[in-house]
Amino acid sequence: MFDGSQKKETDDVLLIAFANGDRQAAQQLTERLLPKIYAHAYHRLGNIADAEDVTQEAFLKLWKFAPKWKQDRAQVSTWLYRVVSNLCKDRYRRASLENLGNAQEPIDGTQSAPDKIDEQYRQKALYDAMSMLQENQRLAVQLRHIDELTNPQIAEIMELSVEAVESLTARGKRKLIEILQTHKPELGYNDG
Amino acid sequence: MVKNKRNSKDNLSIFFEAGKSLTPEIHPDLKVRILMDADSVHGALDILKSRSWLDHALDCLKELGGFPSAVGFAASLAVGVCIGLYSPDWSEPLASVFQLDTFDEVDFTGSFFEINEIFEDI
Repeated sequence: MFDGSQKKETDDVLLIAFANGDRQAAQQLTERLLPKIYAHAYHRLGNIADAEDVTQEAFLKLWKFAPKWKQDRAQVSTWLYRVVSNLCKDRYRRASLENLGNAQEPIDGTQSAPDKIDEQYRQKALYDAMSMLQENQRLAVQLRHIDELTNPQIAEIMELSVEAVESLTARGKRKLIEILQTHKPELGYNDG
Repeated sequence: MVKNKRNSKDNLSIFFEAGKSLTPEIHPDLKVRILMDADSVHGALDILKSRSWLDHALDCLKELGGFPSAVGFAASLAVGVCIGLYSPDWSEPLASVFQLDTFDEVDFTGSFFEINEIFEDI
């Protein structure tokens, strides 16, 4: 679970330390933030190459912005999410889930092959359904239920009120349910 | 209604779990590239800090009126120092202008155009 509030000061301190000459701070920040940022970019764009490009570009913007960073202004993580979101909008295309075969599959010895296939079908169905949502609804649902951010964090990323985020998420989920139920054959999954 | 909503939520959770679970592993090269970017930005930041004194010097130059003015200022300063340190004896040329052999002949304590005599009468 992403807990920005506990790490806020630490991320801020690391970024300011980097701006003041501490190279190790960049390494610590990268190790802390890279997994979530990369995952978000991958789920937005649907392929590894674009996700890597966008992630690298977002971190480069962060390094360049570091000297101007003001502590307590915002969370470093939510700032990065916002940058990635804007970069993804520029590059956005429908999630090319055909590339799932080229993706490095996570090592999970507990799942048998059929379970993995089912999960892949569900993921494909989810992203196909999400591509039919409005952009803001899609982003809110992804940030809330896949990236597991809190509503205040999502509000900061999307520059909306918390109430607006809750409304977007609720409407997005209702729409997703409707799409998944009515487009079951086209989406190609077969949940019992 | 509530049961349907709960079932729908559970069904959606399964999809969200699938969405989260199949994120590919991060390639080690990506982290290396990100840290190399940090290093190159860091180098640029160091250059910016060392240039700050240079920028300050250039600002002072601008306030003096630019490079030509600064050169003239420096030249006049140098000439003034030289004159002060190595000033020639101008007394003989000046004395000849006033048709005097030397300034020793001049009585600076005496009346000046007889003004003292005017005040004595008052």
